[in-house]
Amino acid sequence: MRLLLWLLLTLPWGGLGAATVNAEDHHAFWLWAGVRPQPVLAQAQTLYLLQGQIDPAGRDGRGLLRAQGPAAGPLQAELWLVYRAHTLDWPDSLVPQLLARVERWRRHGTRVRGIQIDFDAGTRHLARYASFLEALRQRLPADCGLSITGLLDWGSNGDPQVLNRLADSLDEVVVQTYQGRHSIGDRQRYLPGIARLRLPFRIGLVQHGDWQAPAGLEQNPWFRGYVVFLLNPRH
Amino acid sequence: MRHTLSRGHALLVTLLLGLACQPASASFDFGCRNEWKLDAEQQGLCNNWPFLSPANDSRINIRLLLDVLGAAPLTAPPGEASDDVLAARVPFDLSTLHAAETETPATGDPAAELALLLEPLGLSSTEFAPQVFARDEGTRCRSNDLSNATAFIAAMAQSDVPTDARRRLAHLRLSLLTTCGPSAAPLQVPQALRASPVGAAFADYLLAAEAFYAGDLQRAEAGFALLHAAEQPWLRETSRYLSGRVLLNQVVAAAIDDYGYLEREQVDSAAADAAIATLQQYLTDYPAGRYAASARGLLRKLYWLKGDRPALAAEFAWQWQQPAAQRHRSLQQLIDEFDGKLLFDTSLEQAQDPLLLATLDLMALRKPWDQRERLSAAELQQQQTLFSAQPRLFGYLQAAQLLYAAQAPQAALDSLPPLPAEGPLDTLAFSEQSLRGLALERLGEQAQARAHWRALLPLTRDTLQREQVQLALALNLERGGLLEEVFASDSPIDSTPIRLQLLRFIAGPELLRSQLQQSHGPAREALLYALLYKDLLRGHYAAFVRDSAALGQPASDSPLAVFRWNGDTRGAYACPDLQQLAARLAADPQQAHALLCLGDWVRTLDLRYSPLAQRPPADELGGTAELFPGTPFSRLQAYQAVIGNPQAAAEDRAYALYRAVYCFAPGGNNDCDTQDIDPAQRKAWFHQLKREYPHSHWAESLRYYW
Repeated sequence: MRLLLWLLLTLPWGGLGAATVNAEDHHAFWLWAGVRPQPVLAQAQTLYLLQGQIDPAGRDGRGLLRAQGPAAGPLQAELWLVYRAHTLDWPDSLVPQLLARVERWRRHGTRVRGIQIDFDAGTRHLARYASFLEALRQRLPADCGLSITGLLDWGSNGDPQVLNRLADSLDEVVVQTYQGRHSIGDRQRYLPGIARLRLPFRIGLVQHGDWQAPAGLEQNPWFRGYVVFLLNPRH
Repeated sequence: MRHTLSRGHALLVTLLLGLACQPASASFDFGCRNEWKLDAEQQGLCNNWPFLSPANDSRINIRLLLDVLGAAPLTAPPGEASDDVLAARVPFDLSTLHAAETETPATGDPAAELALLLEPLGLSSTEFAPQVFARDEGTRCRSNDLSNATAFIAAMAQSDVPTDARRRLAHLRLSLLTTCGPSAAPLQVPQALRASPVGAAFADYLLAAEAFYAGDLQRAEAGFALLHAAEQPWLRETSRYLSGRVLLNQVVAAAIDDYGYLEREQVDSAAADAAIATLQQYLTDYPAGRYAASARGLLRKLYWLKGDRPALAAEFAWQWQQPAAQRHRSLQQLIDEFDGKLLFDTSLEQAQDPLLLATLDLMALRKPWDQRERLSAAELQQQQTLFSAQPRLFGYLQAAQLLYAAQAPQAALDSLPPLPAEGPLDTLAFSEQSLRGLALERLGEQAQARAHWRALLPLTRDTLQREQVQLALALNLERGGLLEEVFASDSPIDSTPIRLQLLRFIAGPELLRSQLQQSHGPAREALLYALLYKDLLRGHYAAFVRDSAALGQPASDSPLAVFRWNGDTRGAYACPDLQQLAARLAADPQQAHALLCLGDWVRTLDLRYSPLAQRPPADELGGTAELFPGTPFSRLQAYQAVIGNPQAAAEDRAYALYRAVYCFAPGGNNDCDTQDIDPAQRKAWFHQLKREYPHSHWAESLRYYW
């Protein structure tokens, strides 16, 4: 068993088998709601920290931000404050709430790189999402970056013009290669599309999931590395 | 190289609600998928029914039970809340119910009140922007707001603080509004402001408040203690309350890990008890005090921190009895808190309170994901005395136990009350009758069940109940082969989503066409899409041409735009537009070039992922056999037909071989249909292309097979 694991881990990228994602090999992590910190966080250079969720639960069904995750404090890793959005219909009062939290973290001396939006935009609605992100970018100060999580099929099926519009608004996109606790089985179908992205991107992996880098990924000038979605150990 | 992340100990209060965020639902966000059914035994991500169902999110059952127990009558959402005609209204997701119950925010305008107080002092509040917080953002700084700054200034106005000192103290208080966490410029209180004893007391308060919001809890503790015996009543009351909050913040700060996460096992129980005693003393001294509601909330937090479940349950039981105006959190927030902080911390054996117990019982009736046993009749029986004031609710739980855990529908049916003669039915009566219908369905008494749903429909109280019974009746009629009754002129099923679900997935062409005639707006669009999609992909090409007359010029972002395809294959292959293509296929359904173009229509527009391409599960509405005749078109089968057709032109056969191989790019998965094709066959196609058409564009373009 141990030998098999060793074999899997030492296969070259792009080799025959996919390797298990070992958080110890990485330096950027997502810390989602209900997931407890792990010792591996000590090596984090970048943390994506879930800070809230935006649901269509406000007045007239508009977006309501509910905070989650830890309150501001001093951290050594650079932070992206992550917001999971279930609606893009945001009232004007919402962005100041996001920025106030950025400011509270910074008061503790923590470096906040910006805000990440996690929104499940299907390829068909990508244009609308791009418009939303353009408007959001306008409302963020220059020192607050904007990142989003992306789906695997955007690169393959998304309209290239829309993807370029995204590039103008975003500092990066983190492409998710998993659903829930598991790596997406047929992701090989989508990965070639990733090569068409023309903006800085990271690849999101799930801890203990499997991953096989497509050929040429490491040479892609837009590739900025990996982010590992941490999981609680299973009992 | 490793480095340790450090984090100061003087941390803000972590979230009360956020830490174990929404334990009731899954922690990951797949898209929601409606389960179009009533008989569900496992919790879905966003599927809830308006009766007490084990499959409901626990927060929905808590809400329904608060209605049953008389603590908070339910407000159902209005009928036409959503304009999405394809989404089920029942089951519904969590936000549907809460959206209908959005409570009006507290009245009063602190900014206006503050302006009135500042005017005689020659001050304006506009230079100080108060901080903004998100809902549930747990930080003690939340109370550093305009209304509390106003209270401070109002209290000075009622004391004999000299005007000049009052102005300067008011200005200092306003400047504190932005303090939260470490502060670059600590507050300086000039000695002159301490000239009068009461002025000195207000100055002391400011210093303690600044320490509190900045996170220097020790200094805050000492500072507020100085004011416990202050003569000024506002300072006396406020400092006593704040001393309790300081102690609570110390308890939390000591139990925070390096990343700001609370570790409850690190909570110092004795320190928590000291905070509890201080807050209880405050409530004894000021039972109707200005901070009484907040103090009760802080007590709940301390009980939770300590893990004192009985005390927490008792606090909630008390809280539900309070009128809405005296709650400091919305009903929804309290339900979320109850769910996350008490329910998920309590086992069935520990629960005493009927609300907690009934919610846990319903969860224990879910079909387990693992080897666990469901709630047994004997275990339930032991709770009888705890439900002595709610015998009917207990009877319902017993019936649910029989249906879901014992899988004994006849026994469940026998134990349930008959259908009442009159409505509207309250939540418990509606739950009983929902269960009754489900038991009849499980017994296979289809006709009886149908009669039951029909009789129940006029007794419903609100739109959710009504939608649920329509769904039940529609499911029954669909399974009974009585689809025409759903669409009869006297049909009680008028729900657009339910009707569309059956029309899109089940109906034959004649019914689709006749319903299309009567529809408009998004419903018409959905029906026309279904009709044209099936005409074309089930081989009714002439019908497609005829039915296309209804198409007009759909907008480019309309789903119908796919039927105005101009033949663009992104340069791959020359095709006519879709109408001409259908006409050619109508003349010769096996014509190789036309078949390949139909494949390219499906391919370039991704119609394999059309909403109609995936059938609903068999136990859901629209899950029975389709009445629309014809075999669904398969791209790969079309390629195989052309490959096997010796009469086909060389160009067409080469393209068919190329596309057939490409069905498996890039990972070896079949993206064209569900056939399992051996890699040897794919290899054979690849070599056939290279061998028979070596100089074709397609042979030259294909370098691999998968």
